Amino acid sequence: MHFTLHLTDACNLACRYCYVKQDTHYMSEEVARAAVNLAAGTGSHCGIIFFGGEPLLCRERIVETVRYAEGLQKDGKGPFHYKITTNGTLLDESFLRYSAEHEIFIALSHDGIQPAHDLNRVHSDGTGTFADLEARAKLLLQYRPYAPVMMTVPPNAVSHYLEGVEYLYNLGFRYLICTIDYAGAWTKDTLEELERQYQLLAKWYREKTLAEEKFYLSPFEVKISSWIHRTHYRAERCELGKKQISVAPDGTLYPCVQFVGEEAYCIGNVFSGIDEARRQNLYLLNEEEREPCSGCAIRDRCNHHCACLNKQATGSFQTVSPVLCAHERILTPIADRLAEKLYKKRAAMFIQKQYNDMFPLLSLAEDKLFYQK
Amino acid sequence: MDQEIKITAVKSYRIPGYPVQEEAVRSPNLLKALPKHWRAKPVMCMALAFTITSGLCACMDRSEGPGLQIPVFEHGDGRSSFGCDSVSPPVFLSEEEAAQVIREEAILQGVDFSGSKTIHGEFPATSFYSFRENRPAPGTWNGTLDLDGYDSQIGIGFEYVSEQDFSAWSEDKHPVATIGSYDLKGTAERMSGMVSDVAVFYDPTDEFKDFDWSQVGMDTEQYQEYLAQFEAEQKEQMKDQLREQVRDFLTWLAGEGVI
Repeated sequence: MHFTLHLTDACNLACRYCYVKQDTHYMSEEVARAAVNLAAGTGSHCGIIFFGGEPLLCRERIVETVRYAEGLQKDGKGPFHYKITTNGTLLDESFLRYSAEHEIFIALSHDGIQPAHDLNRVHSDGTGTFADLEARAKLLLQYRPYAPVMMTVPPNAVSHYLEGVEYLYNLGFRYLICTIDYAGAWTKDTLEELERQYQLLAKWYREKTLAEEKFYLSPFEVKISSWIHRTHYRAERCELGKKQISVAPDGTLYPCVQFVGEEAYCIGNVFSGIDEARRQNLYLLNEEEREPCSGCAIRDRCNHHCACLNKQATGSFQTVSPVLCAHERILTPIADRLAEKLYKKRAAMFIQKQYNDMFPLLSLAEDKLFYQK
Repeated sequence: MDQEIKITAVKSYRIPGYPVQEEAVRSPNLLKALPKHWRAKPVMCMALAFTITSGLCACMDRSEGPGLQIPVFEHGDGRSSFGCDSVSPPVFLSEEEAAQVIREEAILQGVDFSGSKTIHGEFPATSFYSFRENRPAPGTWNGTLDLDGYDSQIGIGFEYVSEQDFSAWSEDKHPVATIGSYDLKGTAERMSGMVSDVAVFYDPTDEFKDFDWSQVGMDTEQYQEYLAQFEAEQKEQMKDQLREQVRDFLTWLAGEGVI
C-alpha cells in the first residue's frame, strides 16, 4: 500500500500543463506522522511518496517524516520505502547525500530537449527551467543511478518526443517513464505526429535492445507486458483507492492524486482513518466496464480503467478519455510489432527482460559487481 | 480537445506473434538466449543457472534436456479467410506438396528429413473466429504430434502448419459466423515457442488480390478451368515462399553450428 503525501500545493514553478491548483497549504508534522501511522497499520511494505506541488519546498518535513517512520520500523512496523517526485530545481548535493543514506528514491520530472522542456516547464515569469536542470540531473544520477525520469509529452511538444528520450538517455537515465498529457488539446494532426514519433521510438528501442543495452522505456514495456503477462496485467490495473491513497496537506484522504481537494471523493482522514464504505463505493464504480469499451478487442490491454487519467482528461473518472483511447490504439500495434521483431530474432536482452522474472535482480547484480565503484 | 477525436472500439485485433508467459514457460531453452556481456562473465552465467535450477525463474522447462528453439522464418502472409467477404477462394499447399518442397530444399544442404518422430507435449489450438471481437485467444491441446519429417543425424525435425492441421486443431465446437479465418503463420509462431529441435514452417497462403471474380459468372466448365489455372499460379508463388522459409532456416541452422 502506498500513501502519497501531498506535502504542499505550493510550487516554485508554473508548468503550463500542471493540474494542481497552486496554493500555500503545507502539511503539518502532526498530519505527516498520522499518515505514517495509518500506512504502518495497513500491513508490511508501506510506500511513502512525497508529492506536491513541489515536495522539496518542504525538505524539513521530509526529513522529520522519514526519521519518524524509521523509528517505527525499529519497533517492528513497516518496512517503509520512500519516493519523491520533484521538478529538480531545488535538488542539491546535501539532499542527494541524505536521500542515498536513507534510500529515498527520487524521480525527476523533465521533458527532454530544451525546446520541448521550456515550452511548458517554466518559472512563474514564463522563462524555461531547462538550464537549471542539466547539472542537477547529472548530480542526481551520480548519487542515484537508477533514478527514473518522468517525461510528459504534451501536444505542442510531441514532435520532440524521440529527441527528448534520446537526450535523457544520453544524459544517463535508464528508467524513462513517459506519458502524454491526456488533458492537452490533441488534434488529429498531433496524434498523427504522435504515431510517427512512436514508430521512430520503436526503431530506437529495437536498436538499443539489439545492442544489448539495459533500459526501461515505459510506453513499450507496459504495452508489451500487457500481452506477455496478460492475466497479471488485468489483475493489476487501477484499483481506485485500494493500493494507493493520497493524503492532502490537511490530512484528508483521497483515492488518487487527481482527486485531492474535491470533497465528493474524500475517503477519510489520517486521524479518523479510511472510510471503507466510501472507498469501496468508488472502487466498485470504477470497476464497472465503460460502455463504449465493452466490445473493444484490446480493452484488456488498455489503460481505460485508470481513474486518475480519466478524471484529468474528462473531469469524470468514469468517462474514458478519447485521447487515451486514441493513444492506446496508436501504441498497442506499434509495441506488438516491435516485440514480434525482437522475439523472432531471439534478441537476448528482450528475452531476458520480458520473460525472465529474475532479470531485475540479475541486472542489478551485474551492475553492482562490474560497473559501480 | 478536437471534436473529431472519439472513443472507437477496436473491432478485431490479431494475436501478437510473441508468446505470453504461460506459453514461454513451456519453451525449453528460451532463457538460454544470453546477452553477450553476460556470456563473457562466468559469474552471471552461474547466477542465471542458479536462478533457473533453484526454481526462482518461472520461464524454463526443467524437465527437458537441451534443445534448439528455432524461430519461424517469415515468407508469405500465412492468413486466409473463407466466407462471403473473402477476396479470393483460399488456396493452400497440401501436406504432401509442402513436404516435397521442404525435403528437396533441405537435402541440398545435407539435411535429410525422410525420417519420422513423434513428440509429446502441449501444442497450440486454433480457432477460425479468434479475429472477431469478444472471442478469446485459442488455447492449447495436450497430446502427441507426428512430425512431418525428421533428420536423426542432427536430431532436428520439422512441422508444416497446414490447412488440414489448422482444422484438426480447431477448438471451435460450432460455427460462429459464415466468415472464418486461417491464421497459419500465427499458429506456427505459437508452436515454435512450445517445441524444441523442431523447425516450424507454415502455409504461405494469402488473400490473393488478383482473383477475377468476373470469371465466376462463366459457365461451370469455364469457371473450373479458370479456378484451376488460378490455383496453379498461386501455388507456384507459395512454393517459392515456402522455399525461402526453408532456406532461411538452413542458414540459421548453419549459424548455430548444427550443419
